[in-house]
Amino acid sequence: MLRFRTIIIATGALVFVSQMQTAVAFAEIDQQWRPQLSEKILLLPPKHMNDAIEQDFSKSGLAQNMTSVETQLSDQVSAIDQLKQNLSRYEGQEQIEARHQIIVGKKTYIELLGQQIDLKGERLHTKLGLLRRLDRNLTRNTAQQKTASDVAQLQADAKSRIEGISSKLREQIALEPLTKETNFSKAFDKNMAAISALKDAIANHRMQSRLGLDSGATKADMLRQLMLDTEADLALIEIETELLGHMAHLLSLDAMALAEDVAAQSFTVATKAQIYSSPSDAVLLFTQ
Amino acid sequence: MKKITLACLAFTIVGGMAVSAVADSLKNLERERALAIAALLDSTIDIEARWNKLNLSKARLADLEVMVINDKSLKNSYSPRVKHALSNYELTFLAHASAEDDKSIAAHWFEHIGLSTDQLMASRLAK
Repeated sequence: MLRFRTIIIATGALVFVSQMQTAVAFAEIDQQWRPQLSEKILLLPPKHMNDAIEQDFSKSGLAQNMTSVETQLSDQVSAIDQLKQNLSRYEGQEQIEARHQIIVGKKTYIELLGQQIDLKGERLHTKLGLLRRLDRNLTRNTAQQKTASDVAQLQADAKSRIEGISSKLREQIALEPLTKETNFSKAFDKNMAAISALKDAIANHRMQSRLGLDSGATKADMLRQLMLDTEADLALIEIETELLGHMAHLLSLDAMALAEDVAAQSFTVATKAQIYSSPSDAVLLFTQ
Repeated sequence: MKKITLACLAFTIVGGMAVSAVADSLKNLERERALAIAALLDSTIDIEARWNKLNLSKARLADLEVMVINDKSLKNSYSPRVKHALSNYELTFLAHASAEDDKSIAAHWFEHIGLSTDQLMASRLAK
């Protein structure tokens, strides 16, 4: 009986621990950005590709986390500014305490900024990974297109020759007494006229010039440009980290200055408390 | 055993339907061209019947050739048959190529396979 009870307790503990682990795992997943974009993004006009990527990011847990950290940062900045403005109103111990609060605020700010820089780096690395994946797919598609381009070229050559002679051939067929124009021929002419009108409308549409070319090369160029921009942002992250290091250095110097001031004040208090008698102070007692 | 046979039969019919659902414009053109050439070489029919058959073929070939050049599925085809057909414009697109040369389909075809009057006259009998 006792053994059975032990097994039940152990099983219960195991289930509880596993559920906790699952919850922790979900919490971790929620903080990340897992791009939900497929290769269909390559069908978009080049100018809209970056917008689609940014929109996908804005829906992620990582974006929410970054927004939350950004809010905390701005709160921290306003708190430090407030303390700095009021610093001149304080004196003595109160001023020391205010300076201490400023240093603590700056320390929190630096910690948050470091966290934000890490998150920025994570975002940029994910974006770069996504862009590289898209670039690989585009390169593969372009290679396939090149293989098929021989047949496409032959077909295009034949098409241009046939289009040049088509009207003459139709006239010849129409002149034959026993053959009449086929339904396909009539429908084809009608549809081709409609296609031609639509092509003209497309060419003259005002958005056509804004969208740019939709060829594979342009998309590849755009992807490469986006990758370069992302790598430039990553380089900026490195500089920001260095900047943060300098901030931390300055903060440590501020803290040392505060400690020295506190120590100096303590020495003053101690000096005031311990005033020892000197024979010269009591001379009057003997002379008068 | 009966069930297996029925299943196999159903599978074959469905498979056949799936294959037949794929439109192959080039195959249709080749079939029509083969019929035109068969009419051209048919020694059992008189000149008038041949003329009428070839005229009808010409109209059908003109349509089918237009279908082939507008068939986008051919662009993604890696079949050597497609490449070979498109490489030989003069023999594949008989109706349009003959109109380009201002000749009848028969004269155009004979010329391009090396059976023109000049070529035949220049030939010699050899063992």
